[in-house]
Amino acid sequence: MKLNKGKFSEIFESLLRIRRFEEKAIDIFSAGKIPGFIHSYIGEEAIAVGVCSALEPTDQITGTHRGHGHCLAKGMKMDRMMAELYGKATGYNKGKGGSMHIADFSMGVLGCNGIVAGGIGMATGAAWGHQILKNNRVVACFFGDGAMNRGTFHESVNVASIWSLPIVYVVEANGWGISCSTEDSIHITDLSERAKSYGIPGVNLDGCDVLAVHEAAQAAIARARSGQGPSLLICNALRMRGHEEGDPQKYRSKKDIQKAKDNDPVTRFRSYLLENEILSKEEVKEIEDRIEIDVNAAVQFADESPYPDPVEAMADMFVVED
Amino acid sequence: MAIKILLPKVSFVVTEGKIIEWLKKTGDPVSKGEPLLVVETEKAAIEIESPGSGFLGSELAPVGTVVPVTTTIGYIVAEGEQSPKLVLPSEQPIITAPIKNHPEANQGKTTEDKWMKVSPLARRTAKELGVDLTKINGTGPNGRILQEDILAFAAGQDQVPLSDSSPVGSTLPSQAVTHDPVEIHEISTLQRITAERMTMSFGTAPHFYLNVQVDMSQAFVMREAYLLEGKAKAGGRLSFTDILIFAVSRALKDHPALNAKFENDKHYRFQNVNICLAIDTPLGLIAPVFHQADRLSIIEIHHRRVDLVERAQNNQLAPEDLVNGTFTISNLGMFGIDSFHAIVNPPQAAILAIGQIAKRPVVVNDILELRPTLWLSLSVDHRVVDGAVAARFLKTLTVILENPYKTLMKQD
Repeated sequence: MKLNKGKFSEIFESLLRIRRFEEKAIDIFSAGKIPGFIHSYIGEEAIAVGVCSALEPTDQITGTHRGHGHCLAKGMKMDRMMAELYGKATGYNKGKGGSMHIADFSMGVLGCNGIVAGGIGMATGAAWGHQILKNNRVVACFFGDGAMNRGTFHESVNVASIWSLPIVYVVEANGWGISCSTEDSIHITDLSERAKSYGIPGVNLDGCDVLAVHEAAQAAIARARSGQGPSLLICNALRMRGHEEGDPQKYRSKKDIQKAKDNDPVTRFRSYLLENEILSKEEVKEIEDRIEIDVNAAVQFADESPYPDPVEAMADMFVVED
Repeated sequence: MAIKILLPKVSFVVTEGKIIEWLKKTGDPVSKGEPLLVVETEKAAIEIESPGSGFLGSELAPVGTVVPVTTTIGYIVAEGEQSPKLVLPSEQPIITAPIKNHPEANQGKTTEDKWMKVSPLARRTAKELGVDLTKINGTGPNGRILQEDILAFAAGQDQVPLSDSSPVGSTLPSQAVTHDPVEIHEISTLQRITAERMTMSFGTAPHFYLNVQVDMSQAFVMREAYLLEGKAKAGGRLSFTDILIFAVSRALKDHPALNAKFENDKHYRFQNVNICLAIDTPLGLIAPVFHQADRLSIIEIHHRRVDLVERAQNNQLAPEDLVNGTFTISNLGMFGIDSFHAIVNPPQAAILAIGQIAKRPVVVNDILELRPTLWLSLSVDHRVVDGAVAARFLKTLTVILENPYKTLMKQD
């Protein structure tokens, strides 16, 4: 694939930023400082990065409960993200969203949400809006393989197909819907086959290969932008950790977990860059050091930020029509 | 700089955790993300990953310690670095010497046996009543502690502190008890063994059950004849149980597949037909053996039965009376039970449950007749035989019981 060095570097940084952010968030969660849940995206970073690196800044995305990666890949900042996880007033959503409900419309992040398949309808609606407004924007809609069995998936993909909406459906096929294996819940092995029934293109990808995802996303986004309608990208990348932090994963074999770890997308891309001499060891180290500093600064920012004033509890919660 | 090992807040509902096992020893090299210890919380037992890389420090919270989440339970130190002093809440002891070697560590498989098995309800009840779980002997499967165990233990405990802590003049000490009182009975060794063996059998041997009604008219006549004869010879009262042991021993000879056991993925067929008879005694259930019953005449079976039952009631059975059984018969007919399903007596393949003989309507040559009948129910370990094999055995047994003279003539 023809990318310039700057783009390679940007993709690597994006992968690493998500990884380090989440590792830190997990440590802090274990230490009891982050309330609620942490659903780690570790092992699936190449999907958000591969897709978002092919989007324009004005394009939009919807994320999932496992959404830190989507937000960061779309360009959201680690400090306000971390503050949101802490429930601090300086967080993107003033601490009301937490880990699972981060949104920033200015960055094109329509929102992560805790409902499985909850984002599919929203993303499809947004794409319809862009079509009506003729603003040339595309929406990338992220969801898991578990969400593919929800009714909203069928209804949304169907309507997007018949109306040729500017949207890309990105399935993060990590093999598990909490503790239920995809094998036990979907009776086809190539999930992209489902695209056929909607008359749209479907591709089955190695979701740990960021360049493969990027390339497929580029094609799907171009198709969407040119008015040819939606595509279905099945990005296969096993979860490296539990469904949520603290999940003992008794339902999963150690072999399956090891398989995920052996196919670490960040390690793979780092090796690719070094082996192909796209980046030098020094350049990689420089990026790693810089991100380490950024993550620590984000933690410090979150630590030092105030909690919201209780009188603000109901603010921003309802739209009041004039 | 030493890295703190925290008891992690693994979930937002978890408030404390118990250290079940350290998977590494003091001084062992550890790397970040590697499984370091096993912690049990209200929700589950979880492998905790190492928070950093280095060497496991010399002061650790010992196995069994329960601490609130986010408590420091040890340190990871750099090479040659002094391990910081560990202080646990409420002055719980600390391991300072090198901790014991864990040969099975990392295998993960065997550690489960060491985990205390407690039902979530029992754990909550114990917490509410302030009962120390380590003092409880669980009565659930594999020693799992159940809520009843906690209540039983608490009821036993209550008697002491209540008299001390009740306000003077209080006439209703039971008000202080937050649950209904429970009476505890110590069980006999026999009852304990029965519990263990039945749990083992029901948990490991997949049971299936075959039921058949047998016409006992002929056996009835035969027994009456024997009773008349028996009085004359002082031979005692031949019982239906004797006839059943006799019939089963002959049927088993023709169906050796049921006179067998399942072990290590193999079938072992016993060479002798040794029939156990379940007997209710003051100390509990016991099943002495009629060795080589297929070679005993019906009268010999009768004498052996009278002898065994008497000694069983008086707790005088010898060890050799209880070994090498290959098949068991349990008869509850004398209590008016029509039919029941028994649990296989391990390691045997099957047990025959016998109900009462009663006059029941049966169709004979298209005419409804009243006949003395008996319900037999055979419980079978499916690992040893399949339904058809067991059914053929039961068919043979039915034929013998319905035509006892034929078999008697053949044998005696």
